[in-house]
Amino acid sequence: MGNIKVQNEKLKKITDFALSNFVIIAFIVLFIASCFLSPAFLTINNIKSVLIQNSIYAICAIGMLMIIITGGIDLSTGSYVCIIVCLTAGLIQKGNGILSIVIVLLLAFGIGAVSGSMVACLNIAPFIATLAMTTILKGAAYMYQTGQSRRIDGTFLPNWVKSSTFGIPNPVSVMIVVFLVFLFILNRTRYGRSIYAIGGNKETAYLAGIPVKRYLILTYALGGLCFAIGGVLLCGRLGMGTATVGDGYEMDAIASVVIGGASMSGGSGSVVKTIVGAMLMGVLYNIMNLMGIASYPQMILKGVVIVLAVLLYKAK
Amino acid sequence: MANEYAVEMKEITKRFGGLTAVKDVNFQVKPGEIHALCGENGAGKSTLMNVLTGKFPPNSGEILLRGEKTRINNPKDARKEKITIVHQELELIPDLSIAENIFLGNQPVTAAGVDWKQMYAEAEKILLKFSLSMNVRTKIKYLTVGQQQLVEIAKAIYLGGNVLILDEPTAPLTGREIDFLLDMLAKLKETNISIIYITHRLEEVFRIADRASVMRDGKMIDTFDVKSITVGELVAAMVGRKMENMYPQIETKAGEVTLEIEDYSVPHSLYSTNIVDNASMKFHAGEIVGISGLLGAGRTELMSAVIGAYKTKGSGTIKLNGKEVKFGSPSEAIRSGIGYVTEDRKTTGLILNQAIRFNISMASLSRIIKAGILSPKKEKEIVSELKNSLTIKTDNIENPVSSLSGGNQQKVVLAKWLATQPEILILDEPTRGVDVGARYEIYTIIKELAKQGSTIIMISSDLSEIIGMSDRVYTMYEGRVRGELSKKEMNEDSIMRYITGIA
Repeated sequence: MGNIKVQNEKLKKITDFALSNFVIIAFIVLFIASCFLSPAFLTINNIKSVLIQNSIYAICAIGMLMIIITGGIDLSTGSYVCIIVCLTAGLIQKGNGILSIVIVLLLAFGIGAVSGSMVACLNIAPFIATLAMTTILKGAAYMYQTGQSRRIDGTFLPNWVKSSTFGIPNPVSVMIVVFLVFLFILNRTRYGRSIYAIGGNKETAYLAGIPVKRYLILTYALGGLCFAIGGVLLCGRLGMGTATVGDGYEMDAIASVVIGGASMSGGSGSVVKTIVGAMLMGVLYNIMNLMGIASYPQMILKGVVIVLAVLLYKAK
Repeated sequence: MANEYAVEMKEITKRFGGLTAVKDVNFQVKPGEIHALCGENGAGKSTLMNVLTGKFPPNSGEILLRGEKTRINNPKDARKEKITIVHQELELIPDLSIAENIFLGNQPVTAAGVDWKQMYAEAEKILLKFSLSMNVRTKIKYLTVGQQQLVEIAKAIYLGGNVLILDEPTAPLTGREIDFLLDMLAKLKETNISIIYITHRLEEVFRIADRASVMRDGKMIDTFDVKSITVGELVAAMVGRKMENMYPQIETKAGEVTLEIEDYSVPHSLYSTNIVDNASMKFHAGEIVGISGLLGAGRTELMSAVIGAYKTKGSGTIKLNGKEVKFGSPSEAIRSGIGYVTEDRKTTGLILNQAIRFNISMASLSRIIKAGILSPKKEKEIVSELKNSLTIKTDNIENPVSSLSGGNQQKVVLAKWLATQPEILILDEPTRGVDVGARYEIYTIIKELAKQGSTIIMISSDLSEIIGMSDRVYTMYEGRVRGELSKKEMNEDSIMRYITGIA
């Protein structure tokens, strides 16, 4: 009897562990399966290209994660990416060099702070505040872009984005740095700890002395910063500024965060699992491409994966 | 055989996974009686009631209603048998009116849709029966928790039934509201309905119950005739040992004045009146000062405005250790050494799905941060120490707070504030929804704190708690401080006179 009980408890612990880390397990399974499904998968070039392609998505997902942890959401990710791509190219064209990147990053940080202030101080629902920001940024991007040619091939940015350091493609290095920085922020700083509390219960957090408003504003600003880093990398990859990019980035970012187990109501979420979630989607796309599956069925499968992921987390 | 019992539960066992929540329980309720169900948190009372209402079908055992074997496999079956439960957690919809809530899913209709006129008229009649004078068009969210509770009970009574189960109905109520409710139940009893009454407040058991059953550790200990037992006997059955005293006897000594509130007023958040009017109070180190008053007397509003947590800003003078201060937000108060244990741990005290560790360290992060970096080691040290000194019953501080019983959850809230090492600790209803055993432990912690020189301010609706714990008490009535009573002057009668505005 007692033995069975102990065994049961062990089994329960194992299932609990598997369910809360299933994104990692699923990733490993998918990865191994992919190796068998296509001989082209496990080649250095293919792995590199998966990593490069998805580094931008992963960085955006980390920004989104921060905001979702507070119980909010940012729908303007795609518009950030779009306007940052245009501005970066424009500023580089004008010969501002590396300063252009500093300017766009600061600008995005500021835009995020505006979204955050709408949420924290004016009590506008995050969905609405960032929806408004979406069209504002998109409109601004079009106004800036109209009638301009913003090719920047041959300048420092495209060259850097397309090269590697110590064998690691530079965009991937950026992703790793962003990952490490936010891993540290979330787990080892007062701010990181506090946003989990804010997402869990705002009132309790406020009464425990946490500066709820300030931290909310900072979170949307940091989100904006992440989206802008993604935008700069995309600008480098494209080698030009165009206002036709960025659509749907917010959805991919939200999907990665949700597949990574964060709750949309806030208070939970992990950087590691979010990155793995983003990579899981990336590998899935890649293997489907390698197997010659068309892009529309791919979209359907993506939706199915999201639903499955949420259901599995619920089972816990 | 005549049906002596309206409800008879026989040999009920309910397991959740490997855990047996209720084991071989026998429980009988007569028609037309109020039957109190007592026991500490986690004794199995709620599980047993959930079996009766079909939420958790039992693993074994049977239920007899009026002598007939009945299967209750889901809440629908229970409704068919007219078994109604009013849960501790309210189930009203905040954005609908009182009338709409009472008639939810059951609205009177005409050919043109809902018959609003009739609905409002009927709702008014129901509330009137309850001597409640509220506008039935008021949205639920504008009512106090106490009023909501009364509406919920009125609704349950309106729906009618053979068996009415009330799970701690008086927890959010005070003074007059409790009297209201108990009178109502006594009248209701005469209609031959069976009322099962779950409560932690033993004086209510003796006031209205005919019989009382005591559960402990998932087992039925005994059923008593209330007239033939004493409080001591009932408590002993609940905790499984003799309780000599409800309150720890620890000597405390008052020192210097620490906190002083002078002519302090707090404007109402909705109307142009003051919810606290010209209140003045003084608190000493090493002293436990009770603040007594009915719901809405301004006790909570006063203290939360003082620390900068209330919706509106108060005016008046606050002196801390002789120096005038003003707190714009709780974080400023915390930095000055003031802790505030709020009255509702679920909505303002805890983050339920976070770990115990996370909750305890939440207000004292500055202690575990060095050069901007959080030290998990230091955090674990502080949390483990508090967990041990407050005897929080858990095998792992990484478990979510929601896995703990009410008493242990309250200890986590206390631990959170003790971690900030406060000089002044304000406690708002520190033992609400906490069982007798854990209560004693919490009282001991509070007394020890005072003994070490902390200033303790204790807001409580429980008069015996105020008398048992306080060195001095301030009474409030309708926003004003009505009187100050010393230990010698304190008794239920004298306090009641002040808080009801007679004295």
